[in-house]
Amino acid sequence: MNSNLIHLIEFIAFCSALMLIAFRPAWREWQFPSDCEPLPISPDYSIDIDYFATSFYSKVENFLTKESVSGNQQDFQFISASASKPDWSDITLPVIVMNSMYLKEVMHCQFPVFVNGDFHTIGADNLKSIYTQGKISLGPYSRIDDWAYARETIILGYESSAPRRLSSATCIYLEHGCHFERVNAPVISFGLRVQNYTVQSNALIESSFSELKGAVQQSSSLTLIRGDCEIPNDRVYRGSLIVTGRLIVGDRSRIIGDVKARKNIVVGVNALIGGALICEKNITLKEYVCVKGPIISEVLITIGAHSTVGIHELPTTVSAERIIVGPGVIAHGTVWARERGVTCPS
Amino acid sequence: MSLNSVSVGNYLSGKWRAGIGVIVVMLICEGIFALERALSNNIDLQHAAVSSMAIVLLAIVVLMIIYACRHMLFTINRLFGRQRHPYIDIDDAQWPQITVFIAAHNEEKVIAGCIEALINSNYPITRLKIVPVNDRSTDQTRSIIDRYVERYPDRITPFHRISGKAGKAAALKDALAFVEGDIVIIFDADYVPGCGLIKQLVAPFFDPEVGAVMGRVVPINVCSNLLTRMLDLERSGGYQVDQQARMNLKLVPQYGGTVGGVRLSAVEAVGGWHENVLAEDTDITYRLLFNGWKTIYTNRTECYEEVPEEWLIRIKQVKRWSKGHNQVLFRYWFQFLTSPYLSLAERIDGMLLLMVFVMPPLLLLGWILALALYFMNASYVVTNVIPIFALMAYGTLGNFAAFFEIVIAVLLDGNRRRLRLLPFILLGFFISLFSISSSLYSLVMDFIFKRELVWEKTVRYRKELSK
Repeated sequence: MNSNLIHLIEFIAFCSALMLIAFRPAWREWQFPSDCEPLPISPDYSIDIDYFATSFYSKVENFLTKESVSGNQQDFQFISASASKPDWSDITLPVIVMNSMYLKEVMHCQFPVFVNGDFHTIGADNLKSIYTQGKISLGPYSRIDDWAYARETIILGYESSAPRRLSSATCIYLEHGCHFERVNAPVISFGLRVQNYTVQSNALIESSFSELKGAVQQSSSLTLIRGDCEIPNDRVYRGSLIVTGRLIVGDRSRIIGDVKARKNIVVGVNALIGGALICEKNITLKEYVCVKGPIISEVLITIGAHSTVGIHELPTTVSAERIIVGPGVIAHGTVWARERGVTCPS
Repeated sequence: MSLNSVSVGNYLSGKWRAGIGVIVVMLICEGIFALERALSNNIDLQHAAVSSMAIVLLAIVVLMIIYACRHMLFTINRLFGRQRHPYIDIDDAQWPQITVFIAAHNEEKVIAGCIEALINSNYPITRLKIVPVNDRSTDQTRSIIDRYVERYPDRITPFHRISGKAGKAAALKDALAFVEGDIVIIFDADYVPGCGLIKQLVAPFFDPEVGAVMGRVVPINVCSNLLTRMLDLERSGGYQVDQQARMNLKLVPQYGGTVGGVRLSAVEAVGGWHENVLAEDTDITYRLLFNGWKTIYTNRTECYEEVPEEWLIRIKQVKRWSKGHNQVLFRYWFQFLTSPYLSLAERIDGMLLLMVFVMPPLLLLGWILALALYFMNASYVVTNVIPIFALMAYGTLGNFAAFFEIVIAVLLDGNRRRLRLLPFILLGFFISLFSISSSLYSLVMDFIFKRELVWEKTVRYRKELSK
C-alpha cells in the first residue's frame, strides 16, 4: 500500500480518536443523566423586598403564642426586654425579644433579631437583620447588614447605613449621610424634615410638543424629538415624549405623560412630570420637583431638596445604579440604588 | 399553538414534490458536467469561472467569520460587560390596564394550568383582563375555559373563535376586539407564568419608547430525551447570552411572540397586526424597530415551556422559523437599512439577525464550492486566501463560537454537568443546516407557486388532563 495513503489513514484515525474523546463524557451524560432538571426560575427574593423578613417572621410566629418563653429553644435565643444592657457577645442563635427594647449601650449582633414591640438604640450599632412589631429607631453611625422590617416607623440616625433592604409598613426616615440600597415604605423621608414651601403660581402656557424643534409624531399621544431638547419655563404639555439626545425641562413646567431621554435629563425647579421619567444616562431633579411615575436611570439619579416622588395613594419606584437624595425629599414606594444610595446633608 | 406555528400548505402531493426534486438534481448535475466540458475547451472561461467561484466562496467565508465574531462579542459581553436590566426594579407603580391573551387550540391538557397561574398573579386584579383565545378547539378546551369564566366572571373574558383564517396571528388579530388598555401580554396555553411575571413584563412599558417586551423561555421537559436536553442547551445560549448581550449592547433584542407583550398603539402606528406572515413576532419586531420603537428583553423574567420531544417535530419547527424569518428578510431589508431611527450598530446587528436563517444554505453552498474548486484544480486561486480559510475552519466551520456561547450560557445558569452533552450539538447543527436549507428552497417554491398558508398544531407532551 502506498505510504502516503497509510499516513492519511493514520491521520484520519488520530483525528477521529481525538474527536471521540469528547463524546465519551457526552455519551455517559446521555445514558446516565446527572444534570437534567429544568433550570430553576428566579425565586421571589429578588423581587419581593420583604421576602426575608416574611420568611423570618413565619419561623418566629409559632413562638409568640407560647405562654412562657426564656433561654434557648433550639432555633432561637430569648432575651429579656427589661435588660437594657444585654450581653450580645453570648448570642449564638437568632434572637427573640418579647417586648419593646430601649438599649443604652452599643449593640453588635450577627444574628437576626425579632422584637415584639419597639426597638431603640443610642447609636453605632451593628445588626445583621431585624424585624419589629413596632418602631425601629437606631442612633447615628449604626449599620444593618442584611435587612430590617418594621410594622411602624423606621428611623436611621445620621451617617448610618443599610446596605441591603429596609422596609416599613408606614414610614422610613433616613437622616443626612445615610447610605442605603433598597428602601420601601408608603412614605420615605430623607434628610431634614419637610419644610413648608409656597408654590410659585406663574401663569402656565398650554403648549404642544409639535412646536419643539425636530418633533416627529410617533403615535396619537407620543412625540419623538431627534437631538437635544429644551422645554421652556412655565409651560404645560400633554402626552408622552421621547428625546434621542439631552432633555432640559424648564422651571415650573409640567409634562402630563411619560418622558424618556437617551442622554441626560435635567428637570427644573418646581417642575412636574405626570408620568414616568426614564433615562439611559443621568437624571437630575432640581429643588421642589414632583414626579408621579417611576424614575429610572441606568447611571445616576440626583433628587434635589424638597422634591416629591410618587403620591401616597399610588406609590412608585426610583431606580438607578447610584442615587443621591437631597434633604427634605419625600418618596412614596421604593427607592432602589443598585450600587449605592446616599442622603445628602444639603 | 406555539411560536411560528404556521406553515405553508396546499402542497403539491408527495410524489410530485419528489419528482420535481429529482429533476432539479439531475439538471444541476447535467449543468455541472456541461460546464466542465465547456471549460475544459476554453482556458479563459475556466479561469473566469474558477475566479468567480473563489470570490463567492471568499464572501461566504467572510460572512461566516463575521457571525463567529458576533457570537464571540456577545459571549464576552455577557462575561465581562455591563449588564442592563433597567426596568426589573420597578415594583411599586401605577400599573396600567392590560389584557393577557392565552393562545389556545385543542389545549385541554394544559389550558387550566395557564389560567390558574394568571389568576394567582400579583398584578392588580382590577387592571388585568384575561382573554383565553380558543381558536376552534375540538376537545375539552372550551368547557374548561367556561368553567373558569363561571368562577371568575369579572376577570376572564373568553373568545371562542369558530371561523376565520387559520393560525395564531389571525386568531390574535380577531381577539384584539376584546382588548382593554394599551398593552397586550401573550402566552401560549402550555406556559405557566410565575406570580410576579406579569409585572416584570409590563414594567418596561413605562418607557414610552418601548413597543415590545420579551421574557426568557425555559424548557420544562428537559429530561425527556436527548433532543430536549440539546434544546435546553440551545435555549440557554439563545436567551442567556444572545438576547441579553443584544440588550446590553443596545442592539436588536427580538420579540418572540409569547412570554412577551406589545404596545397596541405602537403596533397600530406601524401598520397593525399582520396575519399573512409566518413569523408574526419577527415581523412586529422589525416593523417596530425601523419605525422608531424599541424591543426590550428581560432575562430575569422567566417562564417554563415545552420543547419538541421528537426530531420530526423539531425539524418542522426549524423549517417554520426559517421560512418566516426569511419572509421578513425579503420584505423589510430595504426599509430596515434606510430607516432614520436606527444606529449603525442596530442596523448591522438587525441585518445579521435577519440573515441568520440564510447562513446555513450559504454554508452548504460554500462547502460545495470548496469541493468543486478542489476537483477543478483551482488551488492556484485558492492558495492566496488559505489563511482566511484556515481561520474559518477554526472559528466557524465547527461552529466553535456558537459552542462557546452555549458553554458560557450554561455556566451563567449555574449548571456544569449538562455541558458534557455539548458534542451532540454538532448533530443538531447538521440537522438544522439541512432543514433550513430545504425550507429556503420551499420558500422559493411557495413564492413561485403562490401557495396558501395553513395552520399546524404543535404537539403537547404533558400527560395530565386539565381539571
